[in-house]
Amino acid sequence: MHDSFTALGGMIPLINMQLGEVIVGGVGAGIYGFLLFAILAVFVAGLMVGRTPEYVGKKIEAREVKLAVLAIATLPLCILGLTTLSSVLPAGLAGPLNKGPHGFSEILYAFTSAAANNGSAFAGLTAATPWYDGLLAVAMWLGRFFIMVPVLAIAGRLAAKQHAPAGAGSFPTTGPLWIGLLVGVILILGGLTFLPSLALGPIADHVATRRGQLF
Amino acid sequence: MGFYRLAGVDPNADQGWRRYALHMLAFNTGLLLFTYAVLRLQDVLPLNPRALAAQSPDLAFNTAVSFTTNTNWQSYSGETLSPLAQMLALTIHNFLSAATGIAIAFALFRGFARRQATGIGNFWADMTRVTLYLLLPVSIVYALFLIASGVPQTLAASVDVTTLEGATQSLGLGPVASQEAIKMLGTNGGGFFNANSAHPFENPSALTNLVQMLSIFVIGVGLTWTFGKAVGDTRQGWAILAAMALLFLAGVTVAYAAEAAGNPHLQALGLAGGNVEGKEVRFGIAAWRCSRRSPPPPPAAPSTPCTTVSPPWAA
Repeated sequence: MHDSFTALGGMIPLINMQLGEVIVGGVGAGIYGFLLFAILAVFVAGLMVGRTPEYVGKKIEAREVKLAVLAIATLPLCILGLTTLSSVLPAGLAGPLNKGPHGFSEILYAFTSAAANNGSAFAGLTAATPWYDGLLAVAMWLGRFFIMVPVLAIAGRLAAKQHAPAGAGSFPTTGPLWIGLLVGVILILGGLTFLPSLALGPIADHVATRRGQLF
Repeated sequence: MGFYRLAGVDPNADQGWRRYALHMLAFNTGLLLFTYAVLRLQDVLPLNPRALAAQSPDLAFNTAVSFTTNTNWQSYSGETLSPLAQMLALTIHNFLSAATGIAIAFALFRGFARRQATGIGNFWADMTRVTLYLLLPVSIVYALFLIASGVPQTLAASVDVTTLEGATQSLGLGPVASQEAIKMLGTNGGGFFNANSAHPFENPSALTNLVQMLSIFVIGVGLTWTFGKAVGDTRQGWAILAAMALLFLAGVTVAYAAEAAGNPHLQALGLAGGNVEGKEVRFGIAAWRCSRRSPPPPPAAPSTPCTTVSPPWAA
């Protein structure tokens, strides 16, 4: 189980899920999640040059960007909110097998896996309790349908729009510059959102292990 | 099509996004309740040869949500479910939760592709097409391949074998192959057994291991091309796949380096080499990174000295 990984090795699946599980990801969910980031990326590119962005023939306006942010914000709210609750309340603290940063990683991983609809387990956590069964189910439900519904709303709004042909001022959404921007937006957004929690969990775990402290 | 007529659905009746979303939510909520009921009534329903008890309310709720949302988080151990519960409550979601995800992706593709349209497709038609034309045919062929490789597909409960020490051990059996195929293909991950694809009955050989890893990726990767095709410019799909591949390779590199470097405390004790703990020893350190779905949770009673060679890479 992932619990037996080295601290940094176990952090990678954690990050992959926290980025929205969009790196191929679940069938369908991976690509629509990735397209949400694409909408944000063209928006960022549009801000830089000061014009309304387009993506594959559709103008991306404020409402689409807001809906995309709404969908993307679902994961951090579920993961960080529920991890926080479980890290301070007795019913939550009864779960992890280990103390310190490793125990925190166990809780963080469970809610990340649930909200990202991944399902993998870090182990170490006794999750078959009413507290975790219930809250993890909440995370799974929100992480699924609170993303799907905004995605459908975006689909509906885009379908109603006219075709916006790419012009000389359009940001090209193929090629290395676009790929770099897309990867950058995903990593920066994920980094800003989740780095503090990773620092408390796997990174602290790694540093402590190097210094000879085990949990 | 007979299916549409039977269900009273006109596949060409376009739905606006609100109606599409409402039907999607209603369908998934209905399935959730159905699964909950089957799990709670397992002990009185047929096809329960080992006379297993029903799941508790919180566990059944967790399991039902888990499979409805394509998460397949397992707070239970696979061995505690009857063949009927596995097939009727869980395998059904392996198909339909995967199909729901793909349907939503198609609705979004249509949003980009259509011009001044009021609808984004028909939820029921999308579900039928994905299940009938994509998931079912591939799963049938895939399951037959698994059966040929030695994965059990039977309604028998278990088989008794004599171990090397001369003791008798009872090994659980069931309709494993049919669930295994869609478990991978639909990025589900809820294994038939607690040890998931580290269990030799789910994943008997190096070849099945390779095919299982690739089959987790195949539809997700394929959809990037479908997106390009739908918006009339396949380069758009390739650009997304390239970005995904970059992130994937970066992750593999860091994780492999960390695992190969091993644990300094074990090395200080004279155990050289990488961190093999928790890796499926049949396949080594490199195999676990390729897939990111559903290894099992800890068994309900962590002390059971049983099969849990953990499969970090499983399902």
